[in-house]
Amino acid sequence: MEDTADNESRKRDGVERTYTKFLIAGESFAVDVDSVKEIIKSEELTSLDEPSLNLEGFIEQHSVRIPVLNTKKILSLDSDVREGGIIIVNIDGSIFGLMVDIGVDIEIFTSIANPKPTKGSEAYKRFVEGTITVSDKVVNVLALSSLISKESRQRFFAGG
Amino acid sequence: MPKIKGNKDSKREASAPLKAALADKPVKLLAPSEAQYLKSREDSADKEDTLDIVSFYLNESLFALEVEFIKAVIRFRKIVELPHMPDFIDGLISVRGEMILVMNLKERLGLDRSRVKSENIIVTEQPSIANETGILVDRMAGVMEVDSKFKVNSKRAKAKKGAAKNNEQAFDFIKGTVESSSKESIKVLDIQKLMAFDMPSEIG
Repeated sequence: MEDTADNESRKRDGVERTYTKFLIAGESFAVDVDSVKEIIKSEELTSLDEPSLNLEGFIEQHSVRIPVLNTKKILSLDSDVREGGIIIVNIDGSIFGLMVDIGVDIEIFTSIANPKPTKGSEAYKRFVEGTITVSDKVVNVLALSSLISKESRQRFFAGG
Repeated sequence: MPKIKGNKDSKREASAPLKAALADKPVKLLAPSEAQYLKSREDSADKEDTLDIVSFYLNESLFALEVEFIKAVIRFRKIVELPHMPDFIDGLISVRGEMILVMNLKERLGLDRSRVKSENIIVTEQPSIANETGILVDRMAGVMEVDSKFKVNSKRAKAKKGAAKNNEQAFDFIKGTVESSSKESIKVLDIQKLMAFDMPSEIG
């Protein structure tokens, strides 16, 4: 995010970084704020069921078509909590939308990341790159690159 | 902090041809590059976001209407009273040989109409309404360019001492608020809502 002063002092792991925290299916996750471009509330999403790509559909934002990933499905989260928002992020140089729960739970804060957890399911270890503590609660930091499978990279990334 | 933008809450199904195309022949759903996205965002920011409004006073409070709905601003003139009209319709005036209705905006907004004398009439027009309508206002303030994304009133204003007799009524017609260069709050009115009223059947 362009206007956060903390970004200029962002350093390697173990030092304070600025994160955006949000909920997916009621569970807290965070991403580096630098990767977040916009947060859209209930955008008109053109549905496109592509199970192999974990693609929910796409949106037109600023005349650009952006694929939107079904994050709940990717992370195997089973919940009736209804998504209401889309976070537009940079994943490896390309722009994607991530379906998230919308509401007051979207926050920006600075914290120090803890190392990637060694325990947990394979899926959990695959998608989480570390944890941070927010108000005494542990929040998983998403490994954004992991959200795009090898198979889908060919479809999403030019030359991929 | 990224701004959260509210939009319609709806989903559309992909069109049949698009689905068929994807089924038969996987199409590259290329995600835009960051550079492409940022350029588009910058381009759309340049185009979208200002609006011209005409501001005026009603009992020392600033209000405004969007310029696109304004045809003319004329000095106050004699009003021919009409019977059986809503309270906020003062009557008819002649403008360029045509008789048009005149709305008392203070009455419409539930403000005290007796406090300050009206000096001007804003002649408005809307695509959905065949006739022009005049709106009585006090003195004019000016024309200004504002951000089209109004700061929306999220709280109902408390009635201040000696001010509007019914702020709840005014709130319903306010589209949003903007700030003048002198930091005064300007309430931008929703002209569609102002003009949404029924005329007595015998007048038509």
